[in-house]
Amino acid sequence: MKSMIEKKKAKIINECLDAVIQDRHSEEECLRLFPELKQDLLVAFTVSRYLHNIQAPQITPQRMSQMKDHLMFKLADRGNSVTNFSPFRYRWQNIKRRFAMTWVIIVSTIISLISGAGVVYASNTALPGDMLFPVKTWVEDVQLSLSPDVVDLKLYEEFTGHRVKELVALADMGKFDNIDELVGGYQNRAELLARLMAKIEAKNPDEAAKLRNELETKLQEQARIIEGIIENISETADLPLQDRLREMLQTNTQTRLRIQDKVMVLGPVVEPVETPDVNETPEVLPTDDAQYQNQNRVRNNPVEYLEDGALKFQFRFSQVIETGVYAEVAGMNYPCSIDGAVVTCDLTGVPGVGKLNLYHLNSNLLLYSCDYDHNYEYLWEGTKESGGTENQEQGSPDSGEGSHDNGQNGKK
Amino acid sequence: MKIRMQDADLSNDEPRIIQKAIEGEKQAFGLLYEKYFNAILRYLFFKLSSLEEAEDMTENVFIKAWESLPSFNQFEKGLNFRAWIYRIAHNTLVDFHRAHKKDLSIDAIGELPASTIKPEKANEQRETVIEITRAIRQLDEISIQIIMNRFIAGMDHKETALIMGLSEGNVRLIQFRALKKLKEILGEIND
Repeated sequence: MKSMIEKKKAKIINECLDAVIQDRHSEEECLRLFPELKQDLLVAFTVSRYLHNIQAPQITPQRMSQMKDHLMFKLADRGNSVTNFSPFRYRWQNIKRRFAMTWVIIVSTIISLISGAGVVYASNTALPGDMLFPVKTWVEDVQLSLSPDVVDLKLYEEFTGHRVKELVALADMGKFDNIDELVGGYQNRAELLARLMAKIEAKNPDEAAKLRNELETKLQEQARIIEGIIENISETADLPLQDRLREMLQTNTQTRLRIQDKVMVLGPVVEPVETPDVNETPEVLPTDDAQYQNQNRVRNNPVEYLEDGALKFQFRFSQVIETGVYAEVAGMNYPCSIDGAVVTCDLTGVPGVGKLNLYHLNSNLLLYSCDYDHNYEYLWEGTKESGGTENQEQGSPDSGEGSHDNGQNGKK
Repeated sequence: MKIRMQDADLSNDEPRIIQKAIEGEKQAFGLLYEKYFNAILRYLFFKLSSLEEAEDMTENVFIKAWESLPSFNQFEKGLNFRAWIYRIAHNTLVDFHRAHKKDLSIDAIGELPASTIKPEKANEQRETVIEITRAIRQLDEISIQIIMNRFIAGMDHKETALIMGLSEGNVRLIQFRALKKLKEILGEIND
């Protein structure tokens, strides 16, 4: 009963507030209509009135126009994915998808009937290049078509795992003839996984947060396996094969970054300019702790400068860097050049503020990480720069808590 | 046929402009950006208390909106564009605060800079605003969000409910209880 009364009062106050805000009634009229709620209404009106008077700082039209230009530059093209308008487009797409999936089911069923259900079952162990491999991917598609988003996400993760297991099997046999099919399949599933995660993120951040750690663990396991295989075959395999596997590893890294940082890749990935020398020994990293790496590897703060309109960041390492390095900001890769201990990265187009990671090109190991602000000042991991003075504040709350949780820990 | 953006009247033609943006026309999306930029910035500013952060997050919100636009009609039945983009802003904000382990909005509302009060009303109102915002800080997080959405962002209770994933009745009730608590904190108000 009490709750009913409360609900009724809540409704009256809400309606009065809306009526006053929209100028349909005056405060006095409401007070006259509901004298028993006078005090409640007075508080509501006062709070409403005063809070309405608070205004946000004004943005100048120039600043807004600047921000708009920046945004427009960053927006990915979507012309191809969404084309001819039709009011029934989405419905039609769903129907098409459903029919496509139905077709897959029909084909799978026919295969099962003709060859026995054993064929579908046997396809579980099929490898790229095998006759039953397409059946295996069809079955995966069928599973995806029948499940909701959250389950789909787990399936995508599972299917990337399938591709990695297939890679292990191919590596055991030393048979890499169909590596393109495998890497392409991995990239496809990983891309769909990242996109689906972004969709879940937009709709339900809580759910996304729950899924993120689990995904990261699984993807890390996959990265270790791929790295292990790259290492094992590095002396015997030809360069194109190594490149394909490195591409697969890079897809894994990108996917993890996209999932962890919740950043959408908005354009094509820029390939690093350095040509990796596969025979080079990766830089020895004494620990996975980025803070330790930062303190021991980069001698001073990066220098930021403009060169022919390009935004360059220059890092001076404590030792000569002999291997390829690339920079990553917000899920995008940027090329870096190396001159002895000096690494110069072209970061044109990066957002004003963000986290910058430097990776070893061969192994994707994290070399260095920092938060940057090329509009204002640098905020270093483990080091806080203020007014040009570098203060060591290791372990302090300002030392970049969580800024190295982008999935590179324990990657070796 | 491409829409001539210079001729587009956003207030009357918003559904068509949204549709063009869904189809990938950045120019159309630019019009939506211009219309909703200030509202989203204001909404975020009062929950972040930093203009720079609010600007960055506003950009992220519009990028997410652009990426998610193709699913706007399909999955977001019952939401108008304004409520939809506010919801993206809300989700982005929740995520940001979770990542930075901050309490949503409490710092922001309690330390409003004097510049945020309209100059002509500054003297007479500043004290009251500060008193009210201090009182609001004593509320729980959901109540603060509802009060801010309703009275600072200027959303109606339906939009607030949609954005926060609550029922309208719930929003009304939480708002009522929050106002009741504010009444206790602020004491009796004379008309």
